Amino acid sequence: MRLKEHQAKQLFTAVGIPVPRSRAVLVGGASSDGSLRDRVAGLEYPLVAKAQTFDGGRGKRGGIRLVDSARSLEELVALWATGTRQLPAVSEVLVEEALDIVSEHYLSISVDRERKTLLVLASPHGGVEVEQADPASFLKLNRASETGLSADDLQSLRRHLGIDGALQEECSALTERLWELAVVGDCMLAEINPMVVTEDGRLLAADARVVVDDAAAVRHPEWPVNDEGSVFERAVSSAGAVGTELDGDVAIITSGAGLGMATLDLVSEAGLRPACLIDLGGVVFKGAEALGQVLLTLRQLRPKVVFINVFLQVGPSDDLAEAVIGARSLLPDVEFVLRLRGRNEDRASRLLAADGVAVHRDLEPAVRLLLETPTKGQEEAS
Amino acid sequence: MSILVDALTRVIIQGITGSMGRQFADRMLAAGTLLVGGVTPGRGGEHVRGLPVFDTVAEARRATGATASFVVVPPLAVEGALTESIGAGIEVAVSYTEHVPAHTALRVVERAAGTATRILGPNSAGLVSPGGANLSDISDENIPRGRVGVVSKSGTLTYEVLDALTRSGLGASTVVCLGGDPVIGTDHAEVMSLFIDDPDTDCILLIGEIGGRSEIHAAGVWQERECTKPLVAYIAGHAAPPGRRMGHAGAIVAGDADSAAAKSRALRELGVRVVDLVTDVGDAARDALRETGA
Repeated sequence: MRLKEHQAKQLFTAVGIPVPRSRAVLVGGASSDGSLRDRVAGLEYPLVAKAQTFDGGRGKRGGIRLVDSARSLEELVALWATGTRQLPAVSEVLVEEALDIVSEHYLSISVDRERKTLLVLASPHGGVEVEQADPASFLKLNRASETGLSADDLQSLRRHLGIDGALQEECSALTERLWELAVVGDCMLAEINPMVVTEDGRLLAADARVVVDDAAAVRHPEWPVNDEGSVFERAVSSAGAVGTELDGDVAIITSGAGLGMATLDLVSEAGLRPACLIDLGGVVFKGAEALGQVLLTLRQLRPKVVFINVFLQVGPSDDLAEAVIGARSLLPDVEFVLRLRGRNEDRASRLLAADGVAVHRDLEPAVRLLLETPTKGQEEAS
Repeated sequence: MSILVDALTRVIIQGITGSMGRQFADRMLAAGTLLVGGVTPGRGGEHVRGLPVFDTVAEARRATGATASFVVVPPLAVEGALTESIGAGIEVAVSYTEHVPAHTALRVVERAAGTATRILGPNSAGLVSPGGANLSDISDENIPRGRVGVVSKSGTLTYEVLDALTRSGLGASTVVCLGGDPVIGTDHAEVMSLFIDDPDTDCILLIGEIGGRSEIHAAGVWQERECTKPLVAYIAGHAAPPGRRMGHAGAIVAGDADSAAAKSRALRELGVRVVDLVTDVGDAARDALRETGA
């Protein structure tokens, strides 16, 4: 799960990483003019307003602005609430002190899946252009999570970052705290870009990007709940499955992520355009009613055809057959094609055949059935 | 023969007293896997399906001679369970549980480094040497016995691959599922080495997906060792949009190099026979075996 900047900075503050003085402001109905002024009371203009988007590059899209009065802040917040041509509407704005910046640096810690360690990346050059920077300008340290960073590591990092003088110790402390946040806080990525030195001699995390590991959410009640997905994807998630919305007209539903990607390949190769991919995951074991809830999310997408590719080992396939039959009356314009393997396969096939639904136990013939399925769009095309 | 496990491998289940543990015990016993007991802390002295339950892996190993463990405990208990397996000198531990945090996996993999223990997973669908031992969620009737070594991340994709092999008249020597998580104990390359050395494997099937470089490293090992066994590969996710997570926590196209197309191209350059559809893997393996006369 990606965190917004202000959420990431809350995690930073909790472990003692210094950040600029700031207030997060809710945009829209919840904040009237008065409460916006109240929220930023104590901060001195000029201030920096930062749209809280999930994506990077917001600065280039007008999502970071200097404001010199409460009135211009209010106007800006109102603009961002509805969105601009370049910047989609946001629900939160972070209002921060304007910094006099002497230098910008880059520091991050991430999970290195290849080396199976944590990876510390440091560069003396931070800021918006860091992704275009020469890879050779980064110091990379792979360190085991249980070993941590040695005093030598901290010194190398500090030297490479180019932080010296009075801020040396603060730099090492900040690096150690970022490490602590990454490990204890179950971060896939904890990034400070830029880390800045200010005219008044402070070392601060001016921006913060954190990606936390969803699998660890149970041990982190302090995490916010961010639902980045589309309305459809959130509905699938509420039904207990995982959905990815695409822009075609064939909905694909599978049992498992790997099979899902392979099915997406088959359907696309056959010249059809997938509308979505749904991985049923554990829902296949939860009965016809739970499966029906997942199928009903398709009402939002209005696909022409639903292709279900389910290959179970011990799970019951007839629950799914019942769910499909139940969902058909609620999805009247949608054709269903199934490939079905699992326990009670014969019963499932009988039920579906009796209801006029195309089903096969092998994948290639099922894809052929899918190609032969008449849809409104194909009839028009022919 | 086969790799990692066979009919003589003594197997325990960590988490055997849970409902999942009992189900797997039933299936292993029905399939003829040499299941010798199980472990659940605090439940030592009990029995499941007539098999002894121990408090610790070390006790279970002493009493039964087990060298392989199937670990099916809740996500937050995985760290403790695998740390015990490592400490007790278990040779192969299959970590089946889904939704294990990546930092937990990192710690466990670090602890296993340099020890006798090989970890599959977390989130591995398991390990099967057909007719020998089945430490997986794949039903025995769906695993034809044969001479093709299969290594894959995903369990459900492996079902499809085995189905394709069956339809092409082939079977598997051993099936190894590595797990779909970003941090896993064993990569394609390590299993590749084992298959290269296995006298009962004539052809190797490398099944991968978008994200990471694990499959490329494995093909590199195959090329460096000048292996004469044909290598057939399929990378799932050709049609996956970049930057979107595709179900598996590890499956996301982060850069140009880890898309299915880029990985398939890199594999072809190494001399691997790459197919673009999962349904083609069986025939590709059959053709490769005919051409090489194996």
